[in-house]
Amino acid sequence: MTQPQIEVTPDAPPVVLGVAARLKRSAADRGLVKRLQRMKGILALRSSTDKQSTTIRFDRGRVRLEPGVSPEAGLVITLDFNDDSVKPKVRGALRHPLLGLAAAKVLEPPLGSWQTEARAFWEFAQNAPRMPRSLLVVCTDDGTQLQLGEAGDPEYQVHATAKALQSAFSGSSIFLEDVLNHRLLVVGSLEHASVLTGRAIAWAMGEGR
Amino acid sequence: MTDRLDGISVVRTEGVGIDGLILGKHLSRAKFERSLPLGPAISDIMFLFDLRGQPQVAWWDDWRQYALGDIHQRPDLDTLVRIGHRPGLAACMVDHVDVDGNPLPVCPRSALKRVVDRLGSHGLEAHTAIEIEGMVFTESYDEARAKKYRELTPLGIPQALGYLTHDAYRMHTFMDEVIRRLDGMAIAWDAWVAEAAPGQFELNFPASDPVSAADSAMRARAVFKETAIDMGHSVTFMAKPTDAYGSGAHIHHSLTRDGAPAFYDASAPHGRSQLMRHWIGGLMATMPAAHSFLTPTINSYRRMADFQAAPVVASWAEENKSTALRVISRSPGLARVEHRVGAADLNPYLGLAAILGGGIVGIEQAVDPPAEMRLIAWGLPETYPYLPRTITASAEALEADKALADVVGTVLCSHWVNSRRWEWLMFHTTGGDADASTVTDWELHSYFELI
Repeated sequence: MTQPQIEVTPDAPPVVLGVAARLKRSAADRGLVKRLQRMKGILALRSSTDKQSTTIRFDRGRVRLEPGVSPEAGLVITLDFNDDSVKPKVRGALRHPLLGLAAAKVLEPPLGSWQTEARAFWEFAQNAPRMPRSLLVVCTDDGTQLQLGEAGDPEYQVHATAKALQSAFSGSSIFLEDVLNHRLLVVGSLEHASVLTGRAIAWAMGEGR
Repeated sequence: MTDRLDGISVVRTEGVGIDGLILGKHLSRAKFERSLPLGPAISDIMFLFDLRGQPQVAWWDDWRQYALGDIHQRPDLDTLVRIGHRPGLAACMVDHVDVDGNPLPVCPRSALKRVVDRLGSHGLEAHTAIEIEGMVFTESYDEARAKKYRELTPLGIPQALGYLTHDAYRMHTFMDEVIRRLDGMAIAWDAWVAEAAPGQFELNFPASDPVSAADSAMRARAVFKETAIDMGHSVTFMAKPTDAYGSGAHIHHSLTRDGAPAFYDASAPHGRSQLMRHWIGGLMATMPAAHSFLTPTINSYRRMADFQAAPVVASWAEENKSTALRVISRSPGLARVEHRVGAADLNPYLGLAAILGGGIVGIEQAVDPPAEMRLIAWGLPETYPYLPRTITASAEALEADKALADVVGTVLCSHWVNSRRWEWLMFHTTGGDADASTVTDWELHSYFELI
């Protein structure tokens, strides 16, 4: 079977790019790739907090995303894109139970450990202009450290719980927002916080995936 | 200098940021004089905020310091004017410079000066005039805000008819005061009219050098807004605040060499000199990229619709107001280009820099223009060269146009592209409705009062 193709419409808005990035992650997951290759049907995701929405057309390995809620969508899921703890509302689940079940899996691909996510992000972002030469990541749950980039004194430090680190480096949350909300504590310059935020946004929207 | 400040106790500095807002300080006369020549210090954070006061923290420019620091507002003393309607107050346009006095690469006024200098290196001088359009409503800003900027009452007739003196009379009390204040600040103007949309006005200026033209446009926009505040009205320079015709900022320009018109050649076909042909060629070649500066906001793109007066395809033609460039070449005194793409919400310095920059690309690379579009440039098939339809598509075009960036400034262009992508991100992720076919609450909240 061929690798699933994830396509987005030209000039796609952030929600389309972000959902496409999640699906690309699923396409790279051994456990989910077969599910993606089998899926057929049209579903839409609609934000419960703002006007963002996207329609996803699954066609046995070819996945196309477009902005808006298509009237063709048999399944419409209304959810809070920024808060996984809020239970989504689903319309059409009774008529399309298999699509709904499969979508729940491929839209929530498993994340790696915080170290795996941090390494993947660093691999993507390290060569961007004005990135710190080195990054020290400290897990406050157990004091575990991971130094990325050049050895020696780290140019930027990020301290947080394993869950917050996993979220920040996987692109599930916005780096600076996490800093402002004290989910991440950081040591370094505004310059590096800014560049890290920009790269994290790009990562969340599928650049480099 | 002392003479010019006779009777003045306060000087307001007027610097223009990337989004075309005037930022400055009110200084005692003594402090203003002490601050010369570098001018007063302000925080460089002013180049970090977007129009909602949100810090644009997603990239970092080379000119920035590692954290937050000061920059200076270096007064251009040639622009020091008394504010006639506020005795004791003077105002002075400034350039933004670093602590050593070097112009910031992202300072719009400094960028335009660089472009003008480059034009000067070819022995050419530009003469420019910006037509500014806006809309005035009878509600005050507070009342407009309470109504969420919707269902406002235009100051004028409700019909979409332009040039009606009856309509102009409906707004004359307001406009008379605007004109009195412009005169009091020695801002030269040529004409004003009641434009086609309800409550819409247009103000024309005589041609001047590009920096002065942009200064006048910025100051006039401020006068309109301040007069509205004082008279209990509201004014906006949004490109499309209502469903009526949008507001543009057409930019007329011509060139001279040693004082003689450079666009005209009686011996050339249609009187268009070779220089003018290359200039048009450059404007056309760089138009998708320049479009980013000329239509800077999410709202700018709502104005670009077929048969709504704004051009939608990259095009030029003699005396054609449906094309992007209206070329006039019938006599040496009139020979000029009216660039009709600009939206009312453009930053005048950046709009002019992009247009003159495009022309410079044309003459430096001897670009021949495409065929003249002698037809109505609306309702055309998709095979025609439509201008970018979104803020991100324009930003991509600018990012790809290295020739225009070389003239306008690579650091400025990079900053601008990032800031437009930020605007797009904010629109989509902070409540904007991408499916809306008319102006959204997000746009009205973001732009109505500031732009």
